[in-house]
Amino acid sequence: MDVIAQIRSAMAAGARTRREIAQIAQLDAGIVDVGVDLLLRAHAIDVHALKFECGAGGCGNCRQAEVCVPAPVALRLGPTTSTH
Amino acid sequence: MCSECQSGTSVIEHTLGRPVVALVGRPNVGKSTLFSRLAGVHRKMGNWPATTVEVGTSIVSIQGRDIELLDLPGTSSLSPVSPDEQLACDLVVDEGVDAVVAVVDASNIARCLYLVSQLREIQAPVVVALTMGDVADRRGIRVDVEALQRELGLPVIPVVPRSGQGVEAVRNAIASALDEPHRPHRVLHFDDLEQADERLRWVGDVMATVIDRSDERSTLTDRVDRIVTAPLLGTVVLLAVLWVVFQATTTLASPVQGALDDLINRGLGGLVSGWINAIAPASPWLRGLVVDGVIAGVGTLLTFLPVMSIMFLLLALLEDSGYMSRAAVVADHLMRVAGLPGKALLPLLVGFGCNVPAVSSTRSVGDARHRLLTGLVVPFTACSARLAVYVFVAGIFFGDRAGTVVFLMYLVSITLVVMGSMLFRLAFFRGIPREPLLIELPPYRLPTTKYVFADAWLRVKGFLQEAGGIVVSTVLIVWLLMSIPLAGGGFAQTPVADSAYGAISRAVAPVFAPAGFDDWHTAGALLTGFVAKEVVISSWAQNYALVDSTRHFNRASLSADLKRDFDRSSGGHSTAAVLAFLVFLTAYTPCVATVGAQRREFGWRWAATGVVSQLAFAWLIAVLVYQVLRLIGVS
Repeated sequence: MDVIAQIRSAMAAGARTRREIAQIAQLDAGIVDVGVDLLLRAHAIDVHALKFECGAGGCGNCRQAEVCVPAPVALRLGPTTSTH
Repeated sequence: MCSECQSGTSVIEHTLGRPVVALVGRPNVGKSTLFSRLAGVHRKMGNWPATTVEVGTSIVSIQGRDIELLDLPGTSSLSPVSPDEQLACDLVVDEGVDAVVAVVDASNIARCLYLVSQLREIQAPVVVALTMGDVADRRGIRVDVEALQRELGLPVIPVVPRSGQGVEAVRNAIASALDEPHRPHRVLHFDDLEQADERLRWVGDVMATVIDRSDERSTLTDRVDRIVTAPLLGTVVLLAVLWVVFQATTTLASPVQGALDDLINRGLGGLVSGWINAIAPASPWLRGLVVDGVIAGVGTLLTFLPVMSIMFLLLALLEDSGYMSRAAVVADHLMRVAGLPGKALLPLLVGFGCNVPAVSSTRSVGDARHRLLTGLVVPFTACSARLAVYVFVAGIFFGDRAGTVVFLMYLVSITLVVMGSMLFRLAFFRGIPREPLLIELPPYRLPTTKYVFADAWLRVKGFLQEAGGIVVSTVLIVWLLMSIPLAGGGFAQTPVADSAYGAISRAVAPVFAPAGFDDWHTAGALLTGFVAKEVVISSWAQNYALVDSTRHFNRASLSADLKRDFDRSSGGHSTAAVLAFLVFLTAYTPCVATVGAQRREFGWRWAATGVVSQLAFAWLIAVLVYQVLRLIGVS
């Protein structure tokens, strides 16, 4: 099976982290990273930066308020930009 | 094809007048350190012309030949998604640099080889510099350099940029690459996922040949993650972390809160009261409005500033450390039990801050039925407004165990989300499938002071804006209702119990008799709590301050009044009644703004369904909690 398809199948099977994708799809962690990166670049996965609190400025200022996407979501919490 | 390429030089060489060699690679692979080694003291950093992207440049002499060496921004692919990557891609592919040094991290080789596969496809002269060999050794990853060279068909040079080992070999390899006759790069586009798949398979094949992982050791992050993201153990860790957060919040904030209460209610209240008595002694309504209304109501809420500040600081610490994303993985285990879609995690976590944006963010949940289900259970998440009430009530009734009670209320909130979801699924949404979700796990790190304080301040500012806006407005409306006499007497001169507010509260109070808190002060506070949950505190304060405006009002007097009335309404089972009250507060409609958001997102019918079901659910559980605790003898 294609690597991208394996990654997608693993996600559909319930994998929720890159490590779980690698375990379920029996793929090298590095290959999973590249595959997920490619899916992100192709907008096949949407990224949402997530905070546990709404900031000052209320709902009008909320980044979550306008999101409306059909694709799976990758949640990024905290201010870090790099993932492993 | 451009004329420069046909003449045997690259576009960029034609512009700069000497051969150009670019260092490319993912971020943090040792690229810039290698560049410094190759460039020596002659390196310059600055924006590339006509861009805001910083590029390192240096004129380097290699085997008697001057070359322009470029340190390009980090990139992992030649399909750019940022201005930095766009420039790197433009210079390598379109401008056709004369040679490329691809910096490959030996400890994460798969992540780097995808870029190398693209460089091979455009037929650029490539030298591979293999860095991080020491890291790979420590992790037990062995790279067969000769096999790698054979598989890639490119020179591969192990290099330690920090010590300079292998740098001379890289210089020689660059010279050899430049000696090859220049041929124009194939300009390709790399957006096709099918072609990407082929490259990934190639990377996988190369990896299988050149990497020996038989002695690989897992990293500390991997070992920690195995514990903190495991369904059972991870849940225990998460609960322990939450307990510590709430315990620390209530313990640390308590003394500061007491001092702030003295300052606002005794200091400011006394001062303003004195002024009003001196300026307008014939206007007791003015004292009622300003001192017993605004200062008692809003001031009491403001005494929670230390609580919220400490709580927000601790949350920011957890967020910046990288733990929160692991907590999200654990939370997702529970969501699966509840039958909630993976994407519902986003609005539910936002809901623990504020329910209003959480309802709006259900838009990220693609399927309409998933979205509706999520929107109906979001109000069960304990927003930060409820936190203030939890801390207030738990502080009065449970003393040193206040942190544990607050923690318990968060467990109740999570249980309500799970139970609510199960019930709504049974009633309206049978058989909807789950959608995939990927949670990124950033590396753990020491939280940075700047981020933690900036983040906490942003949240504290939100709390202050709420206190200064909607809470002040509600206090004024409640004061107006308390001033309208229904049983004779003049405006603002009637006892609160005989006012419009008192009449409405007394009419509603009996509904709560089976839950043990049918006192009209509390019923009134719950009614005004529809506006915003923090208002429960200000309404209590306003209520009790105005009931007897002759005595001095402060937090201690309010505590005594509440203890007396809960004890009276529950027939001596005040602990059971207070816990039932807190459960009701957690489950009933959070605020009108949330109902408005539900109406906007799902229409009136579903918003009304939400309000009615939450009220029914809240009442039933509160009654159940009170009656069970009373029966087992909790006083």
